[in-house]
Amino acid sequence: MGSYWESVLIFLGINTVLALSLYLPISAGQLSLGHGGFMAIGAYVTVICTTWLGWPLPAGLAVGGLVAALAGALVGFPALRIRGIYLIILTMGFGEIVRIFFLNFEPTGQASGIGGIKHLTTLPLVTLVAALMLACLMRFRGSRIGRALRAVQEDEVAAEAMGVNLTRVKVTAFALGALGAGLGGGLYAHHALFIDPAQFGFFRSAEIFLIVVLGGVGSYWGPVVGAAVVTLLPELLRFVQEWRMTVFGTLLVLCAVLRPAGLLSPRRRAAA
Amino acid sequence: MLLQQLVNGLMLGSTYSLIAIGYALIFGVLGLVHLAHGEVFMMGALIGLQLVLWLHAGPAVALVGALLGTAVLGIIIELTAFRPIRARHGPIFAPMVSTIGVGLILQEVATKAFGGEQVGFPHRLEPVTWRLGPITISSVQLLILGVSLALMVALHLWVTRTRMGMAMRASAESTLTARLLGISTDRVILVTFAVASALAGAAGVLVGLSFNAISPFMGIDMGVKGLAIMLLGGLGNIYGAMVGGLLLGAIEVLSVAYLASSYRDAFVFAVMILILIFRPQGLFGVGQVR
Amino acid sequence: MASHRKTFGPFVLALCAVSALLGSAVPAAAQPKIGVLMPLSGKGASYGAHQQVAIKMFQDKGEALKLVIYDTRGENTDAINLTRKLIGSDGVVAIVGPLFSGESEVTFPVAVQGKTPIITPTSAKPGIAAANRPWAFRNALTSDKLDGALIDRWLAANPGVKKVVILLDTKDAVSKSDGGVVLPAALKERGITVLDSISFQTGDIDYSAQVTKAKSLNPDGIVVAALYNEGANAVREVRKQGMTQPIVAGLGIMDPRFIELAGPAAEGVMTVNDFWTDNPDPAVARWVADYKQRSPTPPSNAAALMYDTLDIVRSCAEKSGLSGKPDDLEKDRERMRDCLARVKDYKAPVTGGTTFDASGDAVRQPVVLVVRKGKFESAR
Repeated sequence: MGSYWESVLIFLGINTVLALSLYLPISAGQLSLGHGGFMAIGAYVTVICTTWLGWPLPAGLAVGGLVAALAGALVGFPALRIRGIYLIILTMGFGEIVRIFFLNFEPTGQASGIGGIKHLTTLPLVTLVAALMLACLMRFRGSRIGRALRAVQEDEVAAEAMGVNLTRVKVTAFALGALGAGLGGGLYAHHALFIDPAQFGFFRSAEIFLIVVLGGVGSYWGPVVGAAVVTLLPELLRFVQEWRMTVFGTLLVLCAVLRPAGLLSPRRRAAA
Repeated sequence: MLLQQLVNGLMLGSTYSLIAIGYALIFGVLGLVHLAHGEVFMMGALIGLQLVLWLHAGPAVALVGALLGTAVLGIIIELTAFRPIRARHGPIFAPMVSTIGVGLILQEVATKAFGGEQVGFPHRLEPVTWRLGPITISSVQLLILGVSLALMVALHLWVTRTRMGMAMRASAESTLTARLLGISTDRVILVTFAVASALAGAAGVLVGLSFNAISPFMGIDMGVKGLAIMLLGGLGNIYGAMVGGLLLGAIEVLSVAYLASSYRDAFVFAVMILILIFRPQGLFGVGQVR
Repeated sequence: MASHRKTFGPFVLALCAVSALLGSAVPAAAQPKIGVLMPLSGKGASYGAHQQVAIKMFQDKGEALKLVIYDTRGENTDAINLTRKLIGSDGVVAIVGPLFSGESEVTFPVAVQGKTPIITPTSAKPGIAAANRPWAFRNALTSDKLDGALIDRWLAANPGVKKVVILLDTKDAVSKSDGGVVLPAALKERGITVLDSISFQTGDIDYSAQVTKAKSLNPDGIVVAALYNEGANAVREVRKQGMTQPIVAGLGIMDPRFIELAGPAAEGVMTVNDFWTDNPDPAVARWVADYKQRSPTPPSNAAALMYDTLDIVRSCAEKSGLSGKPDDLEKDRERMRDCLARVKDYKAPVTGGTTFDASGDAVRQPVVLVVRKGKFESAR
């Protein structure tokens, strides 16, 4: 009994980490559908550290996260000039490019992936990481950058007029978001024990995106709720095994219709 | 070989165009991305296939049937998944979530109804191949090109000559103004959805006839590509979508021919990213990027 | 916002509680249970459907095995969770499945940790069982054991072939290894030059670019390494563009639907496998006929292998004298493992004499097949 639920909860924790990390750029108004790419980078780099170099998991995670953050900063710059739907495509393209890179990169097995990863992810560890991220986000909100972020979310032009360095805020949000995704990827790799490029494709990015918008971007609890719903619901729906995706899809439509701003939407502001 | 590859690219590209046009239409009028559009394309292929199997019909009937069937499907989607959200002035995410849900439902329904594997049109519809000098063309490829062009021309005429078509363009410009002018935007939106979905359905049948690879999951890839093309061509710009589709088909085919297929998608996206960076409004988009 | 949090917090908790209730299973009764993992929805659902028919056929023979079946959706996440569930909550003595090589990669280590024998009927990626001894087994054949015989036969039938082009799916791990490593090695050994390896991706619908490129190289023969979908489309395109060279394909294409999809283009294609629906052997023919009565589509490898794997597991379950009592679960699992490791020349009903070698991989007599008049037949 414990083993099954432990695994489900670990995945829940990982999804929470991923969702919280995507929440950051989205709350800065940057819709990113390429988070799978950052997750992939984190996963592969962490595995290289633990499997080839024999480092302990925390060290591997740190390096994986950092490399992912670097990639995030890199993507963050061109993302400055691009907004809305266009940014979605830019990030989607980035995610695909990362996946295809790993599909062709010999040292990491190309399509065959890397197996035999040691099981180092534990429920306490995942919970710790998720809790830390949540705590950081909470602190963040009150900090200068956090408030700058909120200002940017409300109205970019006004924020810039008030002296907010848009570049710094947006790139930071992207980089930090990528860092979180990298951590999620590393944690995932050491629980699944096998990774290949297919795990980090567009589906993954779309799933994380879905989790965040489902929960609502009004609050940092949104991603948490979203992760719970998306991770647990398929398990819950096992008794309708045959029609699971239809039920899930219908629920999504209902959520969108009944709670368009997300499950945890803040009090609705007056319509424009 | 280059000439043949270009021909290949044109064929592939014309189906991409049909899908991209659908995105452009819907985005133009609604400002929304219809993430289940790829699934509508898929349903078109399946509807066409069923007509051929049940009624022992030819490709023409399959095409018309798919056009009508997906038009109806598009209307249903609009009424159930988009309209209720519009009424509540939700943020941009809500319709996206809704369409993801619709896409999942369509995929599963298709899997249950038609089986999860790839099927193909029966082989009595096997194309005739002609050789024109260095190029080989099949009858189906010509059919695709012909039908795609015909549909695009028809769309152009409709949008520029008919009242409904012009009403659609007006709504795309500004919903408020259009309403002030007495245009029933709700009706226009329905028609837009019907037309966009019909085009996607037609593309589905054409792809099914030519490539023999109809499956409930064929829409995902197409959907992403169509979206990318729409962006390339300029949001909401149907002519941009037309050209963008052909261009993408050519780029894809050439990158496979001269690089390797495993880099194909990366190459395509890289090209798109570069275009976005240097020309954020797309190739044919005008004005500011909002 | 606080009020929303109040409503949704308990909602999420309630969700967890209900999931827990629905997910938990009553501990094992006195009959040993066998877990089955397969994709019933999502990716691979069609294979799963085939396997379902095979399972039904197996159960209709009046079987003593109690099966616990879970749908993995073809997803690694689900596969991991469900393997744990089978081992922990359901207390199975062995697991049959999963289907995909990726899923096997993630579930095998879980089975090793849980000290439960696991045997996949279909995963063909080389090396996974070997990495997870002694608990992991694979009942599917791999290319490295088959391709030599295949190429020999193909060259014997087409002596003019000196240079070939390989068309391979680089997104599918098995095809990539077959077309990228195993087949080229076998060809080189026999003095055949590989002019080029041209790739496509699983799920591709358009092969015109690749085939045009292949055509321009003017090979004597064409080698295809892909799954049946992509393989059929590639072969069709080859013939469509007017190429008449002989085609040999890796075992990935082996599926009756290959012929269906490729149509007349499949004629003459040579490949290798241990099961094909038109096998004249009376036992196989009877099985296929029975299958066809239950399902509109002819059986694929997935179905045949599922059936045979269940049979092997049943035989071991009977021979090992399993007690089925929850206290003896660990011992029962060990007995199953030891029995499976000792399987030698077991007469599997559909695929024939099977032995598990030291790596846990199945060894069987493969047959080189060629498509003639729309059917696979033995290329004698």
